[in-house]
Amino acid sequence: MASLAATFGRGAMTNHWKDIKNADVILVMGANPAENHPCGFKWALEARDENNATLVTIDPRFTRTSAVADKHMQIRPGSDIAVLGGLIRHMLANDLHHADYVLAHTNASFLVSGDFGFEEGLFSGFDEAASAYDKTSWAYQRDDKGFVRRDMTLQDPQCAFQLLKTHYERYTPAMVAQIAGCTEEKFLEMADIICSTGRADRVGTIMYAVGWTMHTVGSQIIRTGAILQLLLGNIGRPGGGINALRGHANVQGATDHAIVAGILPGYLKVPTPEQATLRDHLDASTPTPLVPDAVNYWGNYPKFLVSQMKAWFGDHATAANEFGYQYLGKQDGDATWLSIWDQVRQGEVEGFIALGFNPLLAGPDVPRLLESMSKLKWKAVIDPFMLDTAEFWRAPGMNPAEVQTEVMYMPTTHWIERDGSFTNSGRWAQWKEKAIDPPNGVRSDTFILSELFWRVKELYQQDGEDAVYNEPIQNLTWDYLNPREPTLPELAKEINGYDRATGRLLSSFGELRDDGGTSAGNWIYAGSYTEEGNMMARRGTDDPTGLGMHHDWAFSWPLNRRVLYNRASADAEGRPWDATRAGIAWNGQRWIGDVPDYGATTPPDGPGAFIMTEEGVARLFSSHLADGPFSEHYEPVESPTINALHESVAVNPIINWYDGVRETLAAEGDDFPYACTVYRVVEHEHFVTRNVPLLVEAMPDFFVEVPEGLAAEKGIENGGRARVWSKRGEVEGVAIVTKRIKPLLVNGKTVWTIGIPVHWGFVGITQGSMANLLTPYVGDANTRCPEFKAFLVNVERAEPRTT
Amino acid sequence: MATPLLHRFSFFERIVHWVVGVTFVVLLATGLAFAYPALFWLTTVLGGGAAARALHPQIGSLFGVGMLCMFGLWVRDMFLDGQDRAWLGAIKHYVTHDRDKVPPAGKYNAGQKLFFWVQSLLGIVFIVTGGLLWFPELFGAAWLNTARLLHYAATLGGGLFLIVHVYLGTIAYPGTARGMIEGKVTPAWAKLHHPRWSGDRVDR
Amino acid sequence: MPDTLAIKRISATPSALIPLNSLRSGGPVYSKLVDISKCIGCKGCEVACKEWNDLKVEQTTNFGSFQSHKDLSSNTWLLMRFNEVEVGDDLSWMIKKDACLHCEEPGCLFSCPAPGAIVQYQNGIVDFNQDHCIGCQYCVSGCPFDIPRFDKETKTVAKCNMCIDRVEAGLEPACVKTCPTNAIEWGIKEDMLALADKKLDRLRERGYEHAAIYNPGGVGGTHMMYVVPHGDRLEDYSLPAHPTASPGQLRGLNVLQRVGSYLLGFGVISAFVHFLAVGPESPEESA
Repeated sequence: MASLAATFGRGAMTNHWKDIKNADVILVMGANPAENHPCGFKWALEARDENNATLVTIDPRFTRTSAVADKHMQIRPGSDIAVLGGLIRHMLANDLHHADYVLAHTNASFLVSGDFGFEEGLFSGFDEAASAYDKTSWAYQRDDKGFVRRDMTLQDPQCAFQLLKTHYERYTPAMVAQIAGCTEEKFLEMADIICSTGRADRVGTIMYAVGWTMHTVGSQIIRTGAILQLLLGNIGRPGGGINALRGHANVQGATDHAIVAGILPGYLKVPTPEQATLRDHLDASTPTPLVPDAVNYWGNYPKFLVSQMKAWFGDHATAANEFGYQYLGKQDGDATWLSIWDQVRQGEVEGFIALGFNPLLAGPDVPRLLESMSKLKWKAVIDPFMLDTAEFWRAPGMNPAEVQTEVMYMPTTHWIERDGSFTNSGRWAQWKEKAIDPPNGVRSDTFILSELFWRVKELYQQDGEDAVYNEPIQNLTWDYLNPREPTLPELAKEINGYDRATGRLLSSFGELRDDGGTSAGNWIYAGSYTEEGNMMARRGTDDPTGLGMHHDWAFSWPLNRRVLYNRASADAEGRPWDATRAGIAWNGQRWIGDVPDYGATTPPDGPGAFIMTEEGVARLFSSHLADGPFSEHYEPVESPTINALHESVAVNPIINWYDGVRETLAAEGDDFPYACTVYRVVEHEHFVTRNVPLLVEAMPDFFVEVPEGLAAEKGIENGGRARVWSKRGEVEGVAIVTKRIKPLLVNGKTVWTIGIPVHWGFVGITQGSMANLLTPYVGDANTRCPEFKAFLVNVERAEPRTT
Repeated sequence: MATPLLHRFSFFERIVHWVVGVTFVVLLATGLAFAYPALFWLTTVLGGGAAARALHPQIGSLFGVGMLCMFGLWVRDMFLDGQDRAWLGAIKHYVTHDRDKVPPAGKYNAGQKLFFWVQSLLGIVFIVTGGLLWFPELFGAAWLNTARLLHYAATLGGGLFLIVHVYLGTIAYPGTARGMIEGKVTPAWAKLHHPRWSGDRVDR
Repeated sequence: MPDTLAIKRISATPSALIPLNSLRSGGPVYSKLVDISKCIGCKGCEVACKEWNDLKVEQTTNFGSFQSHKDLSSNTWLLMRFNEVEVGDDLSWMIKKDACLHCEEPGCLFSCPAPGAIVQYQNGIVDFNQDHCIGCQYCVSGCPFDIPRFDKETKTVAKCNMCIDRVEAGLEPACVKTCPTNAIEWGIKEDMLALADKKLDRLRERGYEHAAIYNPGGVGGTHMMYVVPHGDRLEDYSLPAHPTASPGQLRGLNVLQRVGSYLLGFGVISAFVHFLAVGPESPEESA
């Protein structure tokens, strides 16, 4: 969630599940929480029924979320920025934004360089050869002290607010309708609901998920949502926020602990080859304040990184050896999903360990992926279930005789068979207990990984001290009661961190030091396992605010704050915007309510509300993303229509094109007239529940959702079979002919949308086509998250299966 | 020297009659058990409720086959003629044993003939509705109530007939049952109850 | 302490016509309340029902719907039915939890000829006791909601038992426990009616002017009630508009039963009177 960090300073759901009940308006877009987050979704319905909230969905399909919403608007896949941009324009044109909030808590007043501009789909600084932006012209104007110049009247044409207004001026209702395929009336009806919260006494929230993320403009879609919420004054407030719904119980936790490319645990940065010394790295990674009174909490970066290295290398991390900085890998290029498999395809990678996921089904363009996988010398799959990835050599269309890859499979425990913590979308780290014993002989991940570590270490010891990379392996701390299988509480304590002199568990990252006196595996989890015990295991249900914060329940990073940026829930004087839904309030001496995301006793006239940004406020204008300080509508790489805003720059201009990918996209003259999107259904959890008989019974077969009119045109019968193919592959399954997807009028042309669920493969008790046979091998310009959600296909009736 | 007996029913006719008779009694007992909670204990005869439910239609099938055979065997003799109509006009005298005023009957009197036609009709109702009740899952629950109603109604008719039939065949007219047991009747009995048939026999 | 499992009616006994007013009654009368406007069709209840009641997994195939099975079965007591309906300019995806409604006047029980095969408890639960079931399926025709299903293997009929074993232990039924959105509520029937009224107010406020509570009087009310957003389109939810069942619902049969018993008695008596009056008629045996 690069875009949330680019806007607010942290990349995480701003609020939490139960807080959604406090909203007046809930916009569900790029998400389908009724199906993918049914338990958390109860709070949206609670808001609808108990708080008289309006629940609206904007989606290419009428989903099970739409079924319980007040209003639904269908849009074309990949038109999200047009719609959100239209909402921003509608709001500003009609003065519906929360003016006081915008002035107090955003960088609306910040003046931007006069060189900044936008023309025909390109921001200033575009370097066509590098396919990247030179961001120099996106900088703020500075005064002689180096601080940003501001215009508190918001009238200066170079202030972020005016630039924003100008930028989105083109997103008229007519333009939105033309791009997204909705009607102007419907759009305006939605806009009035969504923009009704730009007031102190009303608050709205956005629930989004990978329906926004999985586009070549995914980060910018989220950015647009964030800008919308800032203008409406909804960030930091109970019932507000922009809420990223995570697709598994522990995606947030996995992300926090760096299961995404380019970060170390706690969103620290991976050193690059140019950063030869620790000092270089810290200088490049530690921001300096842009306004005199910014808290700029990332200024503490050195404390976080040094403590992390102390957790990893212990006594071997000293000031003399830069706390082990040289032990860290220096990452050249990126290690995102698409790039890793591209390197495999180029023959640059020998082996692959798949632990806890099913790469073959999880990535786009399965035919290309199969070709890549076949180039591996070996692959180890560690999972509770046999996976398609482990049997990729027998995928449909593969000739096992031609695959030379050695595949090893190791069964491991399922999460239900072990203790541990889940960090949910709302950043609540909740300790859970083992429910059942694993089958005989099945070992835990911690056992397998420890064993791997010890065996590698032993191999290095045989090779002697001169072996490449010997030192970091030998010096790695592995200090557990049973070093062959650490317990999870031991790991949790290590993550929380210690005072190294006394061995005392830390209770806050405020105690971290950059002199080696403290260790912490992940600074944002400091306080999760203290001398008082395992905070994640707490189960207190008290709720003194009545807003569902439950501070005695589990642990919410950071520091048990339940709503991020909650200083912004109050005005400049520290008075809550809405006293009935106060996030925090200043009582003259200190802040009361939620754990303040601010100095507990810092008076309201102190620093800005957004302590993680060097501006001290949230960024309407942000130079932190690669593809623009504002968002812009670009078509998906496979689009059924032209870009109505700028035909010459149809798609995101700084997409990274992997070798041979352009040839796999529908081209002029190809017959792929239909938009297609992929999704999950509530009955299944990705590729795991194919092994659960009761859930297979509930949703047995792979299917294709075809709109009624198109089905009639193609002679496809409900319950019959349909074949869908893209330039990359084809799928076939039961046709669900539906009224829930309507034809759209896009740029004067009718566009139909097809829907495909992702849960099937060729292993497990139910088998069916892999959705990703269809999807393109291209990703977001910032995160390289693949564009699963919008591509082109054709469809026809298929004959019934005889077997 | 004993009086020579007249041959009235063949072995096969008797078998068919008793199959129908015995199965009907069992069916009536279990049927009453299903209809009257107070008589549910009758199912015990067949091994309890579930067994009775399972066996009732199977026994019913045998009953149905018997009914069909009976129909085939006797239908030719069952059409009413002019004398039968006269007999029916004098039925009051038949009941009071005022024999002189009753026109002579053939092998079967008009009452027996009517009995035959009505029981055949009831048999059809039993078989058709019984089939529906046997496999409701095949025919749908919508028919079930109608089928039950008709089946019950037919049972009433059948039950009443059974009483009359047994009474007349045993107590009221001694010597009658012998015809259905041994297959033979005495000439005197024949002369009294079926004079025209008796005459036929003698002529031959 | 009132008995939670005090009996109200037992099939094929006099209590089927005149409910027992046991000394042990006076305990809680429960009801489920299914708020269709809150149901997301996740089928969590469907799966929980199978888990708790140990019902067999059935081989299903997608027949062009999000619905898992085409119909209820003796191993599927609860089925989420999906129906896409155009309501004016808007689309309504009607998703209904189909299962036994536990009628106050249970047609199944009234139709049942097997004593004790169907029991209604004072708490509102109507339960089938397969040990006493004779497999006649009269209950199927007696049910105005088409709920009980015959099992060809066991030759008995089965349906939702409201997780009576859980209720007895003071727990809510498994479907209620599982429902992630609280679309299925459980409690004292009066409280559920009050809650339903509140939900109705909110639905009308949200523009569902025909919103209704489904608690049909024709069966004396039910112990699974629905809050129906489009109360004017019950048929689209496959809910009968005027279901009926009463102890006298099989009036034709009752009349026949009574007439029949008199008629048969009359037959026997007539024969006896005839015997006494005119006696037997024996042929005069000639020598």
